[in-house]
Amino acid sequence: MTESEGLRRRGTKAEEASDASTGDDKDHDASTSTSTTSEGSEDASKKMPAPEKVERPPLQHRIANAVLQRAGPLGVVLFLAGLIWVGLFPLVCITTGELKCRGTYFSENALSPGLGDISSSAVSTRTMRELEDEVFAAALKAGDRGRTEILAQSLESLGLEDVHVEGNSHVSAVLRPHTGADRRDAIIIVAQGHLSQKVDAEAGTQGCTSVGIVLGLAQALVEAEWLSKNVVFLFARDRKAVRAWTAAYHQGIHDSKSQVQVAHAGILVGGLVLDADRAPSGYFAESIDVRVPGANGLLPNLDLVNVVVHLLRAHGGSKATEVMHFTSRSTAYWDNVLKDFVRTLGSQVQALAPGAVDAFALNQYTSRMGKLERFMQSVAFGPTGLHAELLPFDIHALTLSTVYTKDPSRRWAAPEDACRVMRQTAEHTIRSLSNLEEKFHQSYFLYVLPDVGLFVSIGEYSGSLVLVLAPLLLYFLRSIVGPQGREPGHSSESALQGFDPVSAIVGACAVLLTAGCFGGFLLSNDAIGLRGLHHVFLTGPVSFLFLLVIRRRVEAGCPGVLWKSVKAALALALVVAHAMVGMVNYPLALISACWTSLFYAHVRPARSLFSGLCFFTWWIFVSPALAAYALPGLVVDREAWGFSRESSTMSSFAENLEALASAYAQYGVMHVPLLLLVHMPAHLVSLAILTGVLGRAE
Amino acid sequence: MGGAWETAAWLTVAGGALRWAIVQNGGAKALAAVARSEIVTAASSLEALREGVFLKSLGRSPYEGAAYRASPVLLDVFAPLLEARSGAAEALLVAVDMAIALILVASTMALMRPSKVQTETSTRRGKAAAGEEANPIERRLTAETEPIPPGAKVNNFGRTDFVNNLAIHEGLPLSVVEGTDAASKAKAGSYVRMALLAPQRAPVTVALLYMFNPYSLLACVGGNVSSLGTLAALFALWRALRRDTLGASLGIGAALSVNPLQYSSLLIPVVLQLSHGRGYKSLLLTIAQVVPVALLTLVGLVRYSLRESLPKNTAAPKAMLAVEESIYSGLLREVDLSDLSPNVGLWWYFFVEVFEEARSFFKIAFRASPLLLVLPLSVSFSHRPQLLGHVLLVLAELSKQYPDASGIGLMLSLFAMHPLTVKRMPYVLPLAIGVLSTSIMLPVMRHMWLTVGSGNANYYYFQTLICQFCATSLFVHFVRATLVRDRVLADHAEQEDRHRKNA
Repeated sequence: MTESEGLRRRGTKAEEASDASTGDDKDHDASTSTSTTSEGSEDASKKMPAPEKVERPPLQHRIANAVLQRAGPLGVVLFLAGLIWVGLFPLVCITTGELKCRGTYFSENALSPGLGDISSSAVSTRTMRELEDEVFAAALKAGDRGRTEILAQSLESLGLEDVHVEGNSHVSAVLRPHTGADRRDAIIIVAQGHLSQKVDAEAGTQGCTSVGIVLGLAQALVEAEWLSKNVVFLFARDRKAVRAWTAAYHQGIHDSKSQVQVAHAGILVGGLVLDADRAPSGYFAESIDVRVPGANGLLPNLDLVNVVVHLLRAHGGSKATEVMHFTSRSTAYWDNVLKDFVRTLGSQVQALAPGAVDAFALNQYTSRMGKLERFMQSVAFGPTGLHAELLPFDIHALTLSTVYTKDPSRRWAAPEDACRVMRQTAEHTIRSLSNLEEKFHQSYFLYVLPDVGLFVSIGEYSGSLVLVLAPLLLYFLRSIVGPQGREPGHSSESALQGFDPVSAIVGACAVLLTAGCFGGFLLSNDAIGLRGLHHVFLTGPVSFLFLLVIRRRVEAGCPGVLWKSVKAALALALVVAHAMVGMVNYPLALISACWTSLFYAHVRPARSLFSGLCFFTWWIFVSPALAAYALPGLVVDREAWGFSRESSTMSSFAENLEALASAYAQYGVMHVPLLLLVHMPAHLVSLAILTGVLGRAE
Repeated sequence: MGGAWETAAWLTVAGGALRWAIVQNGGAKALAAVARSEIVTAASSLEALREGVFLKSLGRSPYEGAAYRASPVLLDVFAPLLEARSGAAEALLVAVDMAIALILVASTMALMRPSKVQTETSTRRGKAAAGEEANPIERRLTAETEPIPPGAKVNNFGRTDFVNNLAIHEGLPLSVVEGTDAASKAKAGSYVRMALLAPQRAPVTVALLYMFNPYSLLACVGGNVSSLGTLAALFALWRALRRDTLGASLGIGAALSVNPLQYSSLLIPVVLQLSHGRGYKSLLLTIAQVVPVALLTLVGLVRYSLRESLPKNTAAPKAMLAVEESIYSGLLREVDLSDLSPNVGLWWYFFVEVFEEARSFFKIAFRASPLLLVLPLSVSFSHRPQLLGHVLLVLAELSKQYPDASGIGLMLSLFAMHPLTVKRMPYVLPLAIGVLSTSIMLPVMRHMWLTVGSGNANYYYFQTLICQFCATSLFVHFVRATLVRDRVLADHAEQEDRHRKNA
């Protein structure tokens, strides 16, 4: 039976096959129907050869063909759609179909913030300042080491137990509730800084420091009858002190190596880090900054953020708080760029169609976009505060930080009021946490915040990441699926002439593996920086020879197949890597995908000098070296990463690498494996594709 | 064919070298940190086996403390290696994987061996001379490795494995062979799939898939000892294909000694393969040959491995009791589901949630449901014993209460041995992507649930649910595609008959 005969038969007798049982049995249907009624038609076909008629492929194949044949431009469209989706976060929630961003709410009723009347008003701002002054003055007399000792005495005099002093690094004490209360869990309050005399010399005169706030808080809580959990007070000089204390709290009993021994007060369920300074005269409090993200995309439960924001607004008014208020100039740069872009866009729209955009709405949108961008940047390049040391131990915590300004137009409150609001918020948060019977589990753990009262959940934002990765995904699908059905000029057989899939798969995997091993070698040997360069000289020629051998084997009979296979495998690897990172740290994956997705979907051997130059310029733009160079401008807490605090000067490349290595050693930041295991191998492989080492364009 | 052997052998060696390189560079340690529970379970872990060997060396039961749960025979296999030097046990696992790949390649090649058309035609000539019309498709299909003896009953589509036999398909239209016709390349639409599934390439594809699929590779590198049982089972099927009754019986006995629950159903395809095309008398004779040898091997191996713990100078029944006790002390925990730590399967979550009083019922129901499938599958595929063996192996892997990554790797390789069936399967790409993506997300979700606390058990369980759904769907589609293929071939035979009569 010839092909055309079979076709004809299928076409004429298709209807009679309707008695067949299932849809999957099409072939069965075709053959059975042919058998029952083919006698008459066969004679006719013998006499008169039918014209070569090509049947249209089914609808799903036509759609698949239409999509895959236009994978390049469609990928760009989807990429842009992904970015637009991110831009729509403050305006609409696509997954729930609401024309507004979702507002935050309390999933856990037991928290009920601000319901109870708390006797904290007895502890006034004056008391906090007096307590603080007392400690600082006594410490001044006792010398540099004396501040922690004096603080310890002060805590003991307030009635706190298990007071522990660790040099001038930290002081901790435990407040245990009255007998009969459930003392199994604990809440931690950390006062950041001000344990060294030097800081005081620069301190201002208004408001009070975190030491005063926490002392005032301790004094108020000692008398609290509602307290049902232990409260741990920790005065820590810096992040190292918090880290040492937390490690000792969780491992100290069993770990003989641990030098620090601290008292235990139960499982730490939640906490706050208070970061407040005195303001110089002439300064005003602008807001209280809520710093949420920890290292590697870790976030506290959204319920805790809601509680704190609710209380800050309740005590300080609607202007009291900001999420991620960047003070450093370099990190605010992107914020300003984005705001300018949105404003320009808005004014252009306004000019074209007057009245189309409401000025208030535009301002609100601009402000929310700015906050969203800041929040996402701080998640991607965290940590943002000392609470980052608590989050890995499953202690839900965030940092509250006072922001002062000299600009009267941005004034929110007097510095003293800011300290009061912070203390009241901390006290009511402790009350809410004290009410909580279970650990935080109700609300979201993965979210981004366009404003303090709004959130975008993982269900919404993950879609945008998929769209941004769509160019790579489409390229991969087109490579392995090929044209569906038989359309003129797209015969699968002709495309498969001489194609050896085994060699192509093995070749592509070998190329990626070689490049990946190179990155893995650098990572495992901690050879970041100049020390690792000799590995480049060792691995480079070996890889090159390997590539030549592989290329010869794979390209026999089907030229151009190696670079396409490598590119398809690379596209899959990039999608997988970004999906994995995206689950843990969405903003980082989004930024990384935006940066590289289009390039790796479009890279190909240069056909002409011009296209070569264009691709090469693009190649330089997606270089991991460039990322390492730009990193100090992106990270939020420069000190935590090991960069110099002064942001106006860019560090040298070698210093950046050192800082990256130190951040990896301290927090295990995934930027380092992402750069070394994903971007660097991909970049090397793309260079090989671009220069034609893996085969020329057909 | 020689070229295919050569390429497959090279791929096997390359896969072995890659495994060894990863093992030597601390791959096992890295895997333990990332995805331990996805790659091995307590029932298949080399670490647990180490504990068992240690306990046994102290003269105590290896099953004390619930660390070790596998067969006592594995202890004897690994004990000398573990004592000899570090890395010897891992080397054995690499060698076992290479052996499995070679057996798969050899079986695939045996399945696609050119038929002895001449011999077959001459046998059939007698029939034709006697006026009995030979079914044309029967003529093709019976053109297997050997002629059908006169008098043997042959059904419409032959009593043989004709899955890859190219000679059988000569002259058949594409719609019958591949389930596709010229107008729509519906089910063969993927470049890579089309090229990989070309029947001539089957041995190489099988070697490639077994040695380089991430599941088998990670299972081997991560110290998954269940591959020994797989080796014995596949050896038995291969020897049966080569009509080696003794080898097949010993192989199935060895497989049973490694895991009697998992491999007992394989007795059916082995017996069917050994007796296929020889009539029912031969079937009974084969059962009489295979079953005693397999059982003797099982008992012999287990008794040998427990020689030190058996009571001396006692009557045989008491000794047998000790054997049973020892076997069941390990298997009991597996059957009893006392360990509910998370794994890639579905049982653990279900049995965490189920009420105590309903536990026994569901244990029986879960256990019995795959067993219910064995008989219908055996009847449906009695003419294809190899395929039946592969289907039962995959069924056992999918319905294990403590599954791991190795099962999916084995499933991929076994399916690749039947390329013409896979070509008929719908939704292979979406389902394969489902399995792959969930496998990647499993360690991420476990990290988010158990390490950083941003997730919960549902995050992990949803991934296992989707992964198992996709894997099971692949299995179901495979079985269905095989049935459809049989039907199409049979119908085509009928058509040709009718044409001839009309002519």
